[in-house]
Amino acid sequence: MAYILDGTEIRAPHELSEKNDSQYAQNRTLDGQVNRDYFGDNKRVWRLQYKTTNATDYAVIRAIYNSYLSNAIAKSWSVTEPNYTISATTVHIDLIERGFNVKGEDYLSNFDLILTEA
Amino acid sequence: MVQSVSSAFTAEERDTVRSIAHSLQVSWKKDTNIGNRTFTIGVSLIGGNDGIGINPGAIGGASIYNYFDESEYVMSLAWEHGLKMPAGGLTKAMAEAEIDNTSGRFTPRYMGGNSELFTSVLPSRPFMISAGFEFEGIDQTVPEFAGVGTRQPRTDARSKRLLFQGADYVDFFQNRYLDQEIMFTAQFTGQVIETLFQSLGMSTSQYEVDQGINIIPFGLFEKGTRFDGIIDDLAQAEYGHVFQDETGKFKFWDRQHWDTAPYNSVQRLLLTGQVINAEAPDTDHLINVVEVNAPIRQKQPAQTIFNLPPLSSFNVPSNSFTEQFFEFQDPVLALTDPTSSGTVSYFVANSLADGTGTDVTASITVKNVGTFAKSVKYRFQNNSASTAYITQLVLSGRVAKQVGDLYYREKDDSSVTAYQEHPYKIDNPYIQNASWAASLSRMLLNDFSDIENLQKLTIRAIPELQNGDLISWQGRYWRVYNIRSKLDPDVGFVQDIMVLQRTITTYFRIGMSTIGGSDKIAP
Repeated sequence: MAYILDGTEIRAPHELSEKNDSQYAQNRTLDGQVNRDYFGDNKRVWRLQYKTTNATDYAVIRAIYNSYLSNAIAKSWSVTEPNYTISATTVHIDLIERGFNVKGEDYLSNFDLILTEA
Repeated sequence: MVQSVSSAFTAEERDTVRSIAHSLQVSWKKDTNIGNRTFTIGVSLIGGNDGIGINPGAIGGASIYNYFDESEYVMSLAWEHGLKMPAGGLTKAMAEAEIDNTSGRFTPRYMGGNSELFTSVLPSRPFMISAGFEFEGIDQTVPEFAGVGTRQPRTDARSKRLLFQGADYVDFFQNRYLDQEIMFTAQFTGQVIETLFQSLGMSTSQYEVDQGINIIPFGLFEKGTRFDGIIDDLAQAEYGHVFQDETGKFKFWDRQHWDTAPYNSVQRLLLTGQVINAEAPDTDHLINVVEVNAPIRQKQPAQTIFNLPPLSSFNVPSNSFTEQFFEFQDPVLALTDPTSSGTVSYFVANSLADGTGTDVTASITVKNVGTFAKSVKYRFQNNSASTAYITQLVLSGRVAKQVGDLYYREKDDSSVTAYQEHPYKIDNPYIQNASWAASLSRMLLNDFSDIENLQKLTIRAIPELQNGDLISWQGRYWRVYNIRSKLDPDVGFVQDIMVLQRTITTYFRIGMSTIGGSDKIAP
């Protein structure tokens, strides 16, 4: 019952979405038929949305992202929730923007963590 | 003929949804799997690593190299094979690959690279492309291209991509020059091409050569001539084709290659469900007037081909020798060496340069050191104790002289009436008689005098399709002359094919055809 990135449990996101990224070209032949050529496997992309997250939880994710950038090695990602599981998958990490809507002592922030299957 | 594939493969190729498979193999290190040396008697060990078959400096067989599998980095591939239109000749195939370099695997050392390939991202690397489909759980591909990189692979730090371009081994012909003269008489085109291939160091397993129909009465390739020009002219005179196939094998097809099975039967029926576009070409291909020009050389009977000019005597020191070259105007097929007692080839030596002294011919012996196409080198040995002068030298032999020029013109009147004159000129030294020029001209007019004969089709790729294959499209038969394949996620796996309309003709065969039957005399 956890979200595990690079062997570390990260905070559960407030929202989670998963989309498929297939690479294909579509051609229409003279008989009107629409055909597709697929290249490579389907890849999944997860978008984990965090809201009002405290600095400590952000720092855990940020450290993994920094490690991904500095080592240039895709990280392991798995989810073991009761009704949503992802077996260990190697992913690229994007952590692009961090916004603060509650400052004060805690600096609670909003950010999106995007994981793309390698 | 189409490459051999399973029925499941052809079913997948016509499927509405196809999973494309590909393979890119690059020999970055350019190391071979036969050892680095060619077997040398007295040096190499039997059972050792030195190889037999590929000679030093030979134009390579693709299979001798060790390759890195770079398939997982491929972003797009493209390759093109063609036959030379309209009159045949030598053609080379070309290919390019766009490779992902996010990992820095293909970054050269001088750009900061540190991968196992950082010193090997260089031009002239052999590479092979295969393509097909993924079905039944595995990638099933057929060979599509084998060649060598032609330029430095291009990469830049920002795009993180590597562009790799190359041509097949035919490209080598453009940079190879004959290092010795080759002269021949009365040989079929295939015999001459095989001689040229062997002079390039190729082994017989590297090529397949038709015999040819054209007999060339006399041919001379002078030292320093480029191979591609010779081979192109030979194939054009034959109305044949020289090329390298998808697996790296060199082939020469003569003009009758397609007249027998399997080339005279349809290899693939093209359905509208496979064709993305059909395009009419412009009038560039139209030919309704053919002009053939050729210098005619003929073997001459034995005659005097060299006579030392008056006052051109040369001396031979006492008890010594001198070597002299003698040049001829025409290529020499046979030469009679001079002797002191010769009647057609002889020499005279005197004690004085003007020929007025004592005759010392008996003191001189002559040795032929080397005969070349248009020259000979003799060694004159003086066995006396005083200087001798060669005052007369007459050489006799058989030469091949240019006796005139062949000019032949043929036109298709109905095509000229319909489309105005579209002339095509052939200058070729290997067309040696008017009947052969007439035959070649008529075949060209038959193929290219009609605007309807050519078509360009864009199709969902048929990876096993090869040039020369006969296909059926909209109830007509077409011969494939050019295939440009592209494997790219933006456009799919598609091919642009150039096809020439054909009428299947069965030619007369002794013992099989009947006189008065429908079989025709082969051109």
